[in-house]
Amino acid sequence: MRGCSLILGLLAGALLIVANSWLMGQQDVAVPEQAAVPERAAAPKIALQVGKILPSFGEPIVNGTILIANGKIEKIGPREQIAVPEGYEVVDHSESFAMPGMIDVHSHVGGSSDLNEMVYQTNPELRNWDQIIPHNDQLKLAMAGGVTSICFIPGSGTNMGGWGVLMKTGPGKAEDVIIRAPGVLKIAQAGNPERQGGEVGSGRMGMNHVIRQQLLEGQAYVRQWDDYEAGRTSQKPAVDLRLEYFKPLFRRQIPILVHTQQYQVVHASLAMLHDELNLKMIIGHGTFDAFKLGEEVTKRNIPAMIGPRGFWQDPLDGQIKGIVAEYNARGVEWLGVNTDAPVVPQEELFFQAAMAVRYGWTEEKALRGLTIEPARALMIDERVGSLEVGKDADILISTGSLIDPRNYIREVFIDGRSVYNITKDRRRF
Amino acid sequence: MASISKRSWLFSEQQADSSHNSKFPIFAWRRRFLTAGLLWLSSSLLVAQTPQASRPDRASEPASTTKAADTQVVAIVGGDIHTITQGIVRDGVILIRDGKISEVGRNLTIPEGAQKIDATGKIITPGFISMTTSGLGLRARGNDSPEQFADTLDPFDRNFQFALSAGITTSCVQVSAGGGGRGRRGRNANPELPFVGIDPDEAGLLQEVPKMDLDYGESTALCPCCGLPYLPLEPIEETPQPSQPQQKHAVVKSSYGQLDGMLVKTSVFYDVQPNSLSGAFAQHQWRQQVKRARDYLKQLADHEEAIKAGRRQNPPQKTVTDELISLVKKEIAMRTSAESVNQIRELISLSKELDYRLVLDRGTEAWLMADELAAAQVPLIITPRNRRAPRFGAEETSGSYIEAPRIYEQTGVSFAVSALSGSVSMGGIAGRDLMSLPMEAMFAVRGGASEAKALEALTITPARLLGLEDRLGSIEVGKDADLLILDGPALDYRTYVETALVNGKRVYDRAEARVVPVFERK
Amino acid sequence: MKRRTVWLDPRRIWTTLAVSSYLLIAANLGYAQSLVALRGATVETVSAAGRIENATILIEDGKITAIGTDIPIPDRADIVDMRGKTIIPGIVDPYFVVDFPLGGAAPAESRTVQFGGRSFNLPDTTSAPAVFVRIADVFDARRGQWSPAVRSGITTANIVTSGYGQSVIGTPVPDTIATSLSPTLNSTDKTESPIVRDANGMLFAAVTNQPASLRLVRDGLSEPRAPGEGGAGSSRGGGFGGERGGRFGGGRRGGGGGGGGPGDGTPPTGGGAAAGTSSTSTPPSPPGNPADELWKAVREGERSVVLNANNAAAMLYLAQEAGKSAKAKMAIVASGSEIVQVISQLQQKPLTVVLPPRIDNQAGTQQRINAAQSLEKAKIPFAFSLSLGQSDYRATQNNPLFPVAMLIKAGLSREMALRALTLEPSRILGLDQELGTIEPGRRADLVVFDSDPFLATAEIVEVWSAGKPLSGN
Repeated sequence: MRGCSLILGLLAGALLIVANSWLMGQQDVAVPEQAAVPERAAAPKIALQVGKILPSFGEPIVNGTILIANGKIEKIGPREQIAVPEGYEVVDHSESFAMPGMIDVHSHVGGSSDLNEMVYQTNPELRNWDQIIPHNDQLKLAMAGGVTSICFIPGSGTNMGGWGVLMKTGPGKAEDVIIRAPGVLKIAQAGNPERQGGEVGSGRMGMNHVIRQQLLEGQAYVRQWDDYEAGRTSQKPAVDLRLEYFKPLFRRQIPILVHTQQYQVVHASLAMLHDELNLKMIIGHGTFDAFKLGEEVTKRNIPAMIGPRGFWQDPLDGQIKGIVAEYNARGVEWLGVNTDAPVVPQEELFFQAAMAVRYGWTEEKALRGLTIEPARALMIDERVGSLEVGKDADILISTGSLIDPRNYIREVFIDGRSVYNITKDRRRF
Repeated sequence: MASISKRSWLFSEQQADSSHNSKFPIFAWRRRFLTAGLLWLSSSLLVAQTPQASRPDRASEPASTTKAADTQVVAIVGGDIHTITQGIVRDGVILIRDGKISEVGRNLTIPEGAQKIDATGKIITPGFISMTTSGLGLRARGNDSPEQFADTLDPFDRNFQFALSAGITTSCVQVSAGGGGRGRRGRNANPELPFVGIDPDEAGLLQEVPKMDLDYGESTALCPCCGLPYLPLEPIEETPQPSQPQQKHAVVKSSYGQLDGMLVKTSVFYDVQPNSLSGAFAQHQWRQQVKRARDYLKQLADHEEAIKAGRRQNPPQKTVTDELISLVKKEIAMRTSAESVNQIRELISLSKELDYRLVLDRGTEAWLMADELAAAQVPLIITPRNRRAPRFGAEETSGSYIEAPRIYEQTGVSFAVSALSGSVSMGGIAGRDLMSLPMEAMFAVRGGASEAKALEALTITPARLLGLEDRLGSIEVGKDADLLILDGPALDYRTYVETALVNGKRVYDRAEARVVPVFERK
Repeated sequence: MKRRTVWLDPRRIWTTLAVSSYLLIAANLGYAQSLVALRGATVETVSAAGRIENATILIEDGKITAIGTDIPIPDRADIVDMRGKTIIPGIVDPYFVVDFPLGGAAPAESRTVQFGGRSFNLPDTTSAPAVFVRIADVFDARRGQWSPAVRSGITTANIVTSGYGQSVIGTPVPDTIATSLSPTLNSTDKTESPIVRDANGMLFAAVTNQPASLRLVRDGLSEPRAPGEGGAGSSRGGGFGGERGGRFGGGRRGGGGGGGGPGDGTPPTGGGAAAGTSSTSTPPSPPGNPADELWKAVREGERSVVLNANNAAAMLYLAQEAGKSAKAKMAIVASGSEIVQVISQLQQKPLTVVLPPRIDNQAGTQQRINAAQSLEKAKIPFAFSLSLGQSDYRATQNNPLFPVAMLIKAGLSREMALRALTLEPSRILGLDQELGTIEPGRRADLVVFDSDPFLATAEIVEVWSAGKPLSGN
């Protein structure tokens, strides 16, 4: 039995390699796939009448209308300024609030949980969008909690876990829900990937070394291709599957999501990934005392997406400090929260923000930190993160500001479709 | 911090030396620097002295004035008083004498010399009661008798300050299980483990150790990367597993710094493991046991009668525990956790048959049979955020339901709210340890319960479950002066406890305690 | 790492030790010098006389006979020139812990927790001190290093272990002398050792807020009960939580010196002195037990008991007990960070605090506090134990009083600091008529500094015990 599955596995592996190299030959997979609006049955045209709209920018709109067509927001504004055209289904939520769907930059529940390949310390050849399970139990709950987009990433068991994917939480096939693949590169700067076996990487020096070496290798590879494509050399470089996804990374089309926490580790992340290699990066935890680098983070204009830990007890006086609030106090505005689901349940993303507000952040900023700030950090703010014309119609209809745990969601739209409606579905959260 | 009977200076000079140097680098300096160092240190010390000096004093301030304080009247003036049982008194006054509430109302005359606490613009509620708590204010486990138990209180447990910051003035504490002081910051902490702040990765990980088995039950999974436990989602198992040892409970007040009035009650519940009453054999044994208890009571009554009648007779032999006798006399209730409909139904039917009171923990699927619970008057201790997926094929008729609190309120099932975890954790994940108790009540509101009912679930309902409704749970004349002065509505996630009083004594002040952030919200 | 010999210059140490050995040997053989006059020193008398400049101290047969500025010096007196020096009374350490081998000492219990593939050993701290140990029965001068104590000016020490028992009151002497002259004592009468001054010392116990531990104190402080009543107070409510009674085994965390519990069947060494008094299942000690005698003396106010309180809560429990007994006097050993939490509740109680002289951290934080100053403010008597200062005490600086000097810089009064080093601990030991001040009639235990003792740069030049230099340079 075991032998049998081994053979099967080998066969499957071989097939995969063949298939991959065929794909490589066919198209440039390295260019991030900005998946077009899925070729599903055309989304219905909807006119949403809402009591109060909380867009990520600007003042709330009281008694607003949102027109949705082709899964996008066509128009948004006060009800008296927007006439509902022919053919639009009017959905009345005039007793409710509307806000953009929330985005979690750090989630592990988008598919199967085999997210750590622990043989090598760096794994730029791994990608996790082949293991997406759309609309799984956790994502159903996530939607009911207002999370419509997640960055589904490999674990932090190794220093470079592989490439994560940006996806929506709604139903559909895998290709329907993917926003971008590769979404981010997952790097774990220190902490979890620490190795006990005696090889390099049992400490921070070693871990920083293997990350840096791998990135420099990727950089050299991409430079060869850049030179070739710019005509500086006529010699076509060989395709290296291990390094192929470094192309969008070093061309600053996708960011790195760094598992980095504590002062000295975050400092190493900033110095290596931003200062030395000039890469787009997102501080993926930023917890414990790392907020003391707030000024440095501000200076470099790097997004900090804090979580799952939200507070830190200062050993000096034993007081609890709200980590997001501490960053904010040091000038960082590009702030958000994450769940590291399942560490914090995926549906409790809003509650992470609520606790950050409790510990000193402000509600207005928290609202942005759940929506547009992570969208900008993930470089998908063209599509999601706010209620603006032309963006995906990912809309939450709720009984009030969703940062308050007492309020709940009545309906969720993803890509202009109603995917959760408490009058039809049993309320999930 | 424990014992200071140190002999390290005698036998381990090298070891002590190195630790000493790292802690006080100043001592490693050469002699010529000593004087300068001394001056520097003393000046920094004096700076540190001023704000800190007040803390220990404040904690025990009332005691220092001994007799005078006992008769002194405390007056809380100007807040909106949410009495829980008698509506809201706007802009009212509460007078406290001898640790008890002596008057509540508007326009009361404040006696001369009363200690006034200004609560203008604030909201006043009774202190919250945590029904599931571990390791708060206790130093030992496995102490069976009340006398023994009373010796193990620790009013200086710093976790009291964190509990008070969440409004918890009374806790039903698990005694038999671990958890107390096992954490990194615990008093019994192993000094060899690194401190929080040195290696937070590890610190956070270790902090969760004692909570794992206690809080999330048998199905808790651990994050493979960071080792943090997470809330289970899998469908509940029909056959209950022994998740935790039988518990003994004690009711303890957060009387920070004060031994007097800290221990309220030691015999609280007859606790039963979830699996010990399932199956024909177990139930048969249980029936036998209850019968023995009743027989004993009957024999005892006969014996007393005989003595009264002047007959000589030996007293009956007691073959059951005192707790069981209390249970059949309905002095205490059985407390056990049950999740599935079948299990709950079985427990209710046993309690009816054998005639004792029942309190159910969790009750994940109780929403499916709320009318049965209401009819049997079985109250619940719920955690609204507990979530379990439905079983396959029973999508609508199994698992947890966020709207369970609404159903309970509508059908008249009384419920208290517990936090996801019974202990204070400094691991850093906000909103799921004991300090999140009020947040959990907010999730009950999310689930459709009224705010009034959710507030009752933190106050008068748990007081009733503990048999202490004559002392706790509401703001009424004659009750213990366990009060919270809040800077906003009790069930707003931004609200902080500004001041907490236990037994009429100020035991927590946000600005002075500084255990949570202190700032003015715009 | 080389051992530091701080003010004992390595090149001179052998000479010094030889001289002092000679003096000590001479003293023990009875060739006492008859009359010594110390002239010209500044003397901190720690008495009503306060500080006397340019004073003369007359010492005859090991006792101070006169102190003042205009003391006529008899012709036969040996005159020692002490100009420029400052003399304080010998320092008394009320809680000087030495780890004597007790035999059969059970290791502290621990439990192992498996987590994340790793296992952690967590101490089990439910045990209580179980065995009464008479230090005189286990005393062995070769255990421990006495020289640091001598170098620090400690002339009298209340020698205890970390458990429960009766102390030995002694004078530390340099290790070479101690080990050459002091074989292990095996009986109560052997007081010839240069170290042991009183083999029948004080009652001491390490106490925490655990039933067994507190019962030790409660039973000791209450009148003995009629036989058969011993089990009162432990009637268990028939709990189903498992019978845990009788579960104890010596040694608190890191202690190892607490001794084996009676339950492990290993009799402690020293024969006859052991008595289990703390077990929930052990009957009260038989009559005539040395512990009972000592507790009786405590109840009648003849001697104090020294209790090492494990934490602030334990102190509150002890304070409750202290308030109940009319005559009994207690000394509570505590760390500063614990004691400051209970100060206001200790006022008016018949107890003295023993604490290490050091700047402490506030419990749970890294904020610095001066517990001694707080005690002074609250008018609670306290004594320092230099040996409890651990690393601070050790000779990493020339002046062993450096930690005390820090406390003074940070607000403690100089007078109180001196008292806490000398007179207060003498009171705890019940020896305040013999020690602790420089007054006529007191034993001539003196510490000679080259300058003000609370200057960071001060050095001890000589330590005198009973009128003779113990050592010096």
